[in-house]
Amino acid sequence: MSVCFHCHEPVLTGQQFVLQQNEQTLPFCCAGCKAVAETIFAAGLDSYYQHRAQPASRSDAAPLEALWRALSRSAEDAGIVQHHGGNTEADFFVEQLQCPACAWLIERHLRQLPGVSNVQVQLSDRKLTLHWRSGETDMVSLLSALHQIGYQAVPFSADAMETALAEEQRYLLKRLAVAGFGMMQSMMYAFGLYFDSFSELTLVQENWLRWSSMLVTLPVVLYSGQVFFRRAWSAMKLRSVTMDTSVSIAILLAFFASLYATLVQQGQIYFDSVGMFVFLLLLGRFLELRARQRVITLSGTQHRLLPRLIERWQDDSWQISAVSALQSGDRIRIKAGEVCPVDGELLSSKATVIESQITGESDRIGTQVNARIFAGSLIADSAIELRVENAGTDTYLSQLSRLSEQALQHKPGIQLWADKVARFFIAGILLIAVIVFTTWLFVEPSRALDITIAVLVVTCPCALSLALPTAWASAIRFLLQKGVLIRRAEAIEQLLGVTDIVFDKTGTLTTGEQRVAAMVRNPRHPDAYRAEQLAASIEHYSTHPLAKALSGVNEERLTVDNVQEFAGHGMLGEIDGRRYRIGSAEFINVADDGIRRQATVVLADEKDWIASFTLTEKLREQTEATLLWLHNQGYRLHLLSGDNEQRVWHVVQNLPLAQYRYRCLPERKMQYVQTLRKEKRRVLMIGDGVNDAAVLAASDVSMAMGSAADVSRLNADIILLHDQLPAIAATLRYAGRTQAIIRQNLSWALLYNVIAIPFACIGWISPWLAALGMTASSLWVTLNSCRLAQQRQWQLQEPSSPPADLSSTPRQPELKPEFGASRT
Amino acid sequence: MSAIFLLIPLGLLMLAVAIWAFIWAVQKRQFQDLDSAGHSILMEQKAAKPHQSDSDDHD
Repeated sequence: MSVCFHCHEPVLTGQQFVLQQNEQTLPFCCAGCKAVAETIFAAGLDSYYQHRAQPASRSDAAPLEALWRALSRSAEDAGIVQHHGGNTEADFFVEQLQCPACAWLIERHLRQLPGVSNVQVQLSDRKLTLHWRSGETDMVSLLSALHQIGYQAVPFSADAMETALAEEQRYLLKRLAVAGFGMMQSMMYAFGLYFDSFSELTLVQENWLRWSSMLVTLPVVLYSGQVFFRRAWSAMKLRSVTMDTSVSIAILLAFFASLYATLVQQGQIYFDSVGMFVFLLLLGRFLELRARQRVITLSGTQHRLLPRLIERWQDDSWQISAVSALQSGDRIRIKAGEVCPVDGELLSSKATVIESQITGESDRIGTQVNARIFAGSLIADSAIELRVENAGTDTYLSQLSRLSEQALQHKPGIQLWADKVARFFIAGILLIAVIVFTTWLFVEPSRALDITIAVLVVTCPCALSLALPTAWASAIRFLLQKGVLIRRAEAIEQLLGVTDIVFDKTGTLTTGEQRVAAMVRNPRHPDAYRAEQLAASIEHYSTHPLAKALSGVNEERLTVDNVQEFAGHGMLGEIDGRRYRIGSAEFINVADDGIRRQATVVLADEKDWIASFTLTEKLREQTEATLLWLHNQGYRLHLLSGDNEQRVWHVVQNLPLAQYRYRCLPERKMQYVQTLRKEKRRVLMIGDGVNDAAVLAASDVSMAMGSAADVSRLNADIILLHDQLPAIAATLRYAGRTQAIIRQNLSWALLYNVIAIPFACIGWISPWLAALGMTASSLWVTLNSCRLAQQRQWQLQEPSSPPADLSSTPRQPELKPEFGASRT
Repeated sequence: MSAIFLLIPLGLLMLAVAIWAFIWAVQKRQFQDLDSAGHSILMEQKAAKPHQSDSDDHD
């Protein structure tokens, strides 16, 4: 079968849509794709097709003048459109903007239009900024021009969190640059001072270099150092000591010691160390921030804030209105495949909805007139009409979000190991400094200040303060390359204490897609031998998820006439002049009880059943191997699902789970995890839907699947971008490595101090040696952290190899869970 | 070595200019999207051949 030249979807319409280009016949799946390609060729932008990284999305949507007008109006009202004299500016979110070729195509096409003065595409944010001259063109024609080349754009304004992050990025970047430039300069001057071995420099020249270093380091401390001083100050107001406190002390100490040396015109200056120290720490912060920003981009929070539109019955006709304007009592119409934005009462006689976002159940639910449909439900087969009951913040979905916020608030503050070390360390340094100073005051007052400064410089907590951030920055970068996004650096440390791992089922362990698990043929029926082919041919016409699984069982499809779909029940079709039916056992009305119980879908002709199919959820790749590995490592595994017992049982029967629960509402899941935590277990929760938000927040550490509908709302600590389950095991192991490196770093920092302090106290360490030691230990720590970026041992080994190879000692062997499951 | 009395102030001057330029670029949001610019230069070149005249007349 040929595929569409534009969107690479199979062409089912034969030669109906073709285009002659460069003596080639290009097939298309629909009029929409053909029209888009025609526009692109006509504009001479065909190199888009050579360079694109991904096929385009299908553009079968008809032009929607009404929609564009409504969008344009609501964008004006929401203040998204900005007017500067005759010029107008607006931001758009373009869903299908995927690769550089798309960006190029949009830019080129729009620039050709009259009245457009500037086009900027931001690929990473899927954002488009347009400037145009108000008199010559308007938003409706721009949206229509984008539609012509196959893109649906929606005006949008960045949300508060995104703006804040972008602001913070600029804040850090500016300070990072100042620290970087300052560091480079002062290092150059230090070079002159260090290597003045033949004493060529006169005192005046030496002073000149010192003062120059001071001058370039001053902005580094005052401007770039702000980041740390502010946080240390707010920690001090709360009477607590954190890493930022030790960082601030280190910066100020080294700076003022150098300033003193500069003023008295002798001794060592450490301005270059200050610059390097600030720069490295800021770099770590900056990388962490970029990781957080990526979550926002990926999850498309912008989506939520789009002026979503819906059809509302008004003045005796269907009119397009913004969702935010809906009020209870309004009558609305929702198309198939859309997500219901409000809680409401069904007015249509029948509907099929998927509530997996809310309840976690993967089943589609058929409902009758007057039933309640919740916000967040996906409307499955046909358009429905609703009477709005709750809109906006009153919906059940919003209540779920509030539940998760409450759970987050009750999360106990994490006491980081490193913070504890820092507190102990700072108290120690200050104590020693006081003792040294007073002792030398009695012994030899003239040397007291010099020696105290040497002690303070030697003990400078630079290496200590770098130990954590550098290791985290390395780990975050490495994990990001592997498709694991760390949102809170502390989560790496918390992963280590985990004893129990709790999984959600639909969307986490399974893809939510269906697959044919078993099939029974009717031995007496003549068509039984080609049951797969018949089923696949008819089901090919349906978009139902079960139908999708069935249409995949046979690729050689027969021609089907007079196809009829009965939403939520089944289908009718004629093949070779005979009528076939396929659908639920009730729809087919099978007499056989055994078939009735087992079958998900039955195929029949007019008289008798031909075959029955049992469908179950598809497990994600390597689910068994990953779970087995985790189990062998001594983790206790749990599964919480909103589905019914039978469905859960199908999934869990071969998995090494200690416990599973079915029919769990969000509140139940949360209670389950809270009970575990009361038993002093440390829980890692892995989930995906909005229904998991509360339980994710209630756990010690949480992971979410990157494909989850609204990742950002889940507030998970870690996000698995590629939805790969083995990444869970790999991340756990990597967390162990990170912590090992951190411990090495801290041990080194402490060891160095323990050795150096006594020598400094008795005045044996000259200031230049102190500076060298300080720099060397910082460098050692930084380089040690870089080892985390090495590409080794990420993938788990083949599931066939004995698990004992993967780790020398199993963790907590006494906790080995029993196979099988307890039921509630 | 007395050259440093001239060269260091000169260097500092250039440093100030560099920092100013960088901060200006950050404020102009040139560092917001670090991905697409690198790709777009490739695209532009390849595409320039067939219909250069009718697509390059703006800006």
